[in-house]
This record gives sequence, C-alpha cells and structure tokens, in this order.
Amino acid sequence: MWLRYDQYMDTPSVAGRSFHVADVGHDIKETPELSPDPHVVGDRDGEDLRAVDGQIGRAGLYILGFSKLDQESRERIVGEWTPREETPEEQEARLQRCRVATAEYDAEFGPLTPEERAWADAILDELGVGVEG
Amino acid sequence: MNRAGLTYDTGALVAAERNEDGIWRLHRTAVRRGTQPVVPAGVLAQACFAHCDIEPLDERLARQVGVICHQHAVADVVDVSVVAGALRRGDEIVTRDIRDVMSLARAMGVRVRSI
Repeated sequence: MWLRYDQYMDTPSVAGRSFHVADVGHDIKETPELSPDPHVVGDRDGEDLRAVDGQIGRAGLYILGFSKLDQESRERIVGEWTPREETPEEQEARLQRCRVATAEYDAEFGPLTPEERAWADAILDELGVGVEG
Repeated sequence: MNRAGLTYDTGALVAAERNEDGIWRLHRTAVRRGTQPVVPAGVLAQACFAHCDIEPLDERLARQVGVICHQHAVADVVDVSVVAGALRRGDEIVTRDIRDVMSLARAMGVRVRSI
C-alpha cells in the first residue's frame, strides 16, 4: 500500500475503518497507487504516525519513495546536480560484488526459501529496485 | 526503466543487528538482484551492515546538508544526509521510524510503504 504525505484530509471510512488518512489531496478513489486498505495513518500535523489495528508490515519497516520523484522535485531540496552515470566497468564490478555477497550469504545462512524470496521480490519489483536497463 | 537503489537509515541497520527476518530477506534479495544498498557515513556510526556501499560525508555533501537543514528547519544532520544522498542517487530509503525524515518527505510528497 502506498500513501503520500504532502497533505492530509479526513477520510471517515476507508475499508471500514475510521481514521485520518494521509493523502495526496486527490480523491482516494482516483489515486490508483493508494490502497483501499492503507496501513499507515497520521494525525493532522503528521507527527503521530502509527500502524492501524496493529497492521504494521511484517518487517516493521517503511520505505520512503524518493526514487519516484522527478529531477526538478529533487533539485528543490538538494540543489542542482548532475546524476552520475555508472560506466559498464563499474556496473560489472557491482554485479560481481553482488554475486560474491550472495554466495557468502547463502553459504553462511543457507539460501532463502522460495516464499522468502517471493515476498522480497514483490516489494522490490514494485519499487523498481534492481531493474537494469 | 530506471534502476532504483536502496539507502538504509539507522532503523534498517538496527533491525539487521537484531537479526530480524524482514530486513535480511529484503537485503539479501536486493543484493541477489544486483543492487548494492548504500549506508550514509553518519548512519554507519550508529550501526553496521555487510555488503553495502558506504557514502562518505564529504565537504560538498556536508555543505548541502547544512543548507537543507537551514531551509527546512531540520536539526538532525544524519537524517538529512540520508535524504540528500538518496535523492541524488534516486534511491528508496528503508527506515524504521518515518518521523525521522517526515518533514522533508512531506515537503516533497513522497510515498511511504510499510513492509
């Protein structure tokens, strides 16, 4: 589920629950990335964020979606800069380091089960993490 | 499609130190997919995590962090260094406490996902 926190609105009931949901300022039904069953809520000033009904994610962690911002939005915060492109040599070196690390993890802790990998793959697919090209 | 990366805030590293399954599954799968997550140097001072790139807090980044802290009335330079680095790389930030960087996240309208 995705929520955005640029402004708040009252949502009397979402999926049968009553709370203030942090929203993008669009109608929630018109915002496909917003789940009808959001887990994360906050009060009006955004300082009291917590899980709903104990439905914090299984990992108890949050991912902030900064990668989806466009260059202009990022530059508003960090100023102008030129994104650095990875050379083919650097890319191959990175991939090799990742292969070595994966082998070390598998040797020390055993391979992840298909269920464990499927859970993480689903999250990373959604985020576009690890997608080359 | 652009390749997004992962930047770990302190909460992610603390979860790893506690050997919590979720962060390890995410980390190992990200590495398997060819992503080398980044740990900002300020976060490294609070915890450590194997097989990550360490982002140094060099003069340029430190000055940038100072400007952001001033402009957005944020006091924690480590939190801001996490955000600034992630913005420049186009990374997602993995954290435990979204309040840490919420004022900046809200200013930018970023999306938040619980895992």
